[in-house]
Amino acid sequence: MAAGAPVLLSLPPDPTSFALALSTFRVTDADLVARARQGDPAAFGELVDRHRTAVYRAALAATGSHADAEDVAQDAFVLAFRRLDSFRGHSSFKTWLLSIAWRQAINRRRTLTRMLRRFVTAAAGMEEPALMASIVATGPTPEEAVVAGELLRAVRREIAALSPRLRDALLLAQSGEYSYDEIGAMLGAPVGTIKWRVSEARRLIRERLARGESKA
Amino acid sequence: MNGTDGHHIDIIDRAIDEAARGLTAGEPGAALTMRVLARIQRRPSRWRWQLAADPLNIAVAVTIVIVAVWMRPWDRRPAATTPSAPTIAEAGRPPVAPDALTSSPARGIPTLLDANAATRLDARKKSSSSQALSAPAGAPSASAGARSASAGAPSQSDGSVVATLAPPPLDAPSIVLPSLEAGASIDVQALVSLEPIIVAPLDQPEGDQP
Repeated sequence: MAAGAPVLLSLPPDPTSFALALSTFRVTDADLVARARQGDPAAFGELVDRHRTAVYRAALAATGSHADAEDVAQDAFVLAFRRLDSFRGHSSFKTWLLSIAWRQAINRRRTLTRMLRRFVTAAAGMEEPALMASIVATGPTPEEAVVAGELLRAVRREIAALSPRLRDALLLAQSGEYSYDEIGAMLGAPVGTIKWRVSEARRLIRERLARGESKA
Repeated sequence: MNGTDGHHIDIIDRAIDEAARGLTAGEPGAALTMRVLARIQRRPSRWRWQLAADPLNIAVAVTIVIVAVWMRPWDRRPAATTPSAPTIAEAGRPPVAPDALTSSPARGIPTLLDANAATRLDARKKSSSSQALSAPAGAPSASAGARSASAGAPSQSDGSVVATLAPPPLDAPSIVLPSLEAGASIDVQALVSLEPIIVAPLDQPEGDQP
């Protein structure tokens, strides 16, 4: 469900209650935050449902591990609930939440064991059949499909070899889940810097691939 | 840049997009929301306050504090680090002045028994000498002495217990040091200034020069 989309609240047990009239209202994130602050866990549950994918994918971009991303997402939501009073509304709730999630994910990424697991998972993930199929399907002939598969593996290797700043910006931008403003809030950098990092990451990957082809 | 290069770059860009999207593709588990809500609803601060506000728990805590204050286990700690034998030996010394038998509360280390205990000790030392000899003269008596000394105003029972457990006094004469007489001051004569020694300059050496 997209953030900010109209939500139909579940019907209360008593159909004659006043809440029935409210069930067709558009409920914004700000409304849900206000209700969650008053101790309504269901309102916060609705916020979790709205932003769970965005939080999870940000954590996945940082950690590279689905298990770690799940833990980080859970910790981020719990932390956000406990810090709801510090949310002033200067940015959207999603941006504020993503900033918390990104910090949690970076803290996890900094440990050596998580790093090791991340690389192992990334290497294993190179053979994901769905992703391979999407690339292979672009080639009209089996030869071109093999070439496309090789290219995809090479690109993933080059992405993994990027510096964390460039890689984070590239993955977050290409995930299609976040605006540049949200990425800037997460990474703590201006939008122009984020755009430059994405462009630089692309240029480096192209350059290294061309160098590798010339060597081959 | 010709058309072939442009086509090549397009292919690489598409591969980058696909690879990056694949690295961030995924959905959290279906139970994520339930787990988050479960963690939120069992916030530790709430049950801690509820636990602390329970009258039964308050009564138990007050009882524990009262018992702890009454037993004062922390008063026994200095006795474990203080050598016990000198304390007992000094307590049994016969000609001890009452003011010298007080403890040193500032340091918390018992030095001597109180005056009452010493007096009773003097009266009972003949009758209980055999019992005192059989009793261990170690840590129990030292800890009792430590408790009576640190309490400031020891009770009668504490002193009698110490007196019972104390060893008999030594029959050694006290060492009396005679007072030192003031000796004559040492006069130091003024130093006599000496005449400077005049050294004559050396003459040219005689003999052949090389």
